Amino acid sequence: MSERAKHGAAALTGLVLGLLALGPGLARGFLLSYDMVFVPRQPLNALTFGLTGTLPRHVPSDAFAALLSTVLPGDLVQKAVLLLIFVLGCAGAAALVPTPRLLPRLAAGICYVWNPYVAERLVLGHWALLLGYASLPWAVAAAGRLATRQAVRALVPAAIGGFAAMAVAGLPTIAVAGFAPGRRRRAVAGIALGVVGLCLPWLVTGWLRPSGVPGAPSAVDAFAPRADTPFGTLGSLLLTGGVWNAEVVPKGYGSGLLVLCWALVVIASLAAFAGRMRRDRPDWAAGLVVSAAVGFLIAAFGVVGAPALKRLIEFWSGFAVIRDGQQYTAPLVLVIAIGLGLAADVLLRLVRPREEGKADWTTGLVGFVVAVLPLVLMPGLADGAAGRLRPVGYPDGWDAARKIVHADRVPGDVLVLPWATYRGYPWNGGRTSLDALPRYLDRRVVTRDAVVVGSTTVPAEDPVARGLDPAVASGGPLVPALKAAGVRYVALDAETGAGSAQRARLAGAETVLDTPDLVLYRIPDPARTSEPKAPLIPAALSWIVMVSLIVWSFVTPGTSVTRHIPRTPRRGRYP
Amino acid sequence: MRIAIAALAGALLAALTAVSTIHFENAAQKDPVLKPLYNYGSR
Repeated sequence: MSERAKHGAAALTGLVLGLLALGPGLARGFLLSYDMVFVPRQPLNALTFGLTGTLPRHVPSDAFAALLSTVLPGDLVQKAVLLLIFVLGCAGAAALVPTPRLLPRLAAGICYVWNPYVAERLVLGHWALLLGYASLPWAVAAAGRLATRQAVRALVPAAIGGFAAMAVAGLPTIAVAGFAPGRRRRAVAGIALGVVGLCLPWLVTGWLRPSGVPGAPSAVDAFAPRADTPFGTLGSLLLTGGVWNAEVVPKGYGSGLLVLCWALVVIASLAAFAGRMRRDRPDWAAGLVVSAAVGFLIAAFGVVGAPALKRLIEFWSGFAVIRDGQQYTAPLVLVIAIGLGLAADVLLRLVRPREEGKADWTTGLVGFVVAVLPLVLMPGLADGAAGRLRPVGYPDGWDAARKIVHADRVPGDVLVLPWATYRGYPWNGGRTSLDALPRYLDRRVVTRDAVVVGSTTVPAEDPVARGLDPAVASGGPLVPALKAAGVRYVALDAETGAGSAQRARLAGAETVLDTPDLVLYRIPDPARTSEPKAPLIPAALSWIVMVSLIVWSFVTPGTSVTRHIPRTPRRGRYP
Repeated sequence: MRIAIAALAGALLAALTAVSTIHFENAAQKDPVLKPLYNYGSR
């Protein structure tokens, strides 16, 4: 089998895994799960580009989704992006296994896209982060060769994902280049500059945001990794899980014999990786190992060093980016996946040494068993994460509200009540999801972006929401305060019943839409206000730089993650 | 020897699949938060 065919087989395997994971979620409709919000046609507005007062966490991923939704229905865009994660991740990880055999490569690819990390982040709706995760193996391979253009090109999905994606893919890429043999300073600096350039759209708007970056040390405990196995928090992190939210742990994962088997698989994989790297070290190996170790330490820091992390955040709020430390274990997951591929390779060589030529059913069966172990040990990702990802359509009332708001020439914001940012919409089966109105409506939509995790409330970051908080939280009449704050509409997308306490507070506002799923009030003559926001020119320049970098990276044809793979002898087949 | 290893691997896969299926069917799933309605998640 040619190298190209092997890549194709790995990509196809990734596609099959994606289809298996999404399952019924592939039907028409939107998968709304925690932070994952796609809408039929997302507007391109100031919010999309991070030019409101909110933190640009959704930059540039929202712009990407909005652009694609101009040519494809939003739900198809969502499914395509999610399937792409599985295809890219599986093919990239498979190609990193230094063996001519196919099945060990597939074992690595399967392990990389079918593990607790992917399952938990997928249910948590971190599709943008997973874009970075999927691009990591490609970027690692390119950085190992100190190939600047290829590294930038490999990081394009991560650049689309934004901050979290670049954090899990961009930083390891720099580390891999830094530890690559030869260490040509110019190439390393080029890769580092490329990574920074791809980060500019969110880096610039986030940095120049007038209200700064809030730290909220209290959130350290809320977002610290937690144990989802009997092996404690650190053990859970090592087993590629340990995300902070208990609700997103795959069904059936974390207890009984299966988790013990998974632990054995991880240990065997790490041992196989260490054993192989000791005698035959690819160019990317040292940097990847360093990245995996540092990522694990960052994740562990939120557990064993929580007080120190809080002090660091008080000192400089930028340290808040390591609160949700579990996401930084992505390079460790890649090490484990490659290790499983290497373990499979060792096993196949034991069953049938390479010199003996053609493969037979025994090697095929042994390779297949190793490759499918992640699926067997963690079935909870299949079938739309065991029912957590189910497609739904937005209610008709939402579309009517969008049309009303769009047709109105009077400027002004939209305030969303109830005063919270997460919802359990009945039409979404009660599943938790981020309020979709900020992406659904083509106006500045204000929600209370404080998040509640258990009994901890992480303070709001949006300065407009913070300014309105006393008035909205007071329980008194709302219209005078909202009018003065430049709010044109109030949308109730939960608790819409006639007896709702929110309705009584909106005397003086006109009801322009009243449906069971959404009620829309219009406030006459709102004040003209302007919100402090990141400056437009630096933001535009940052986009120009990023897009230019991406175009430049595609100028030279041909990219490969396989140069390190030894040549395959023409004779003989390998499973 | 080869056939013995393959048979062992096949038996292992069958056993693990059976255990996994039973475990999965019996596992309780923590439902997404319905009450309180507006939580991001729980630990």
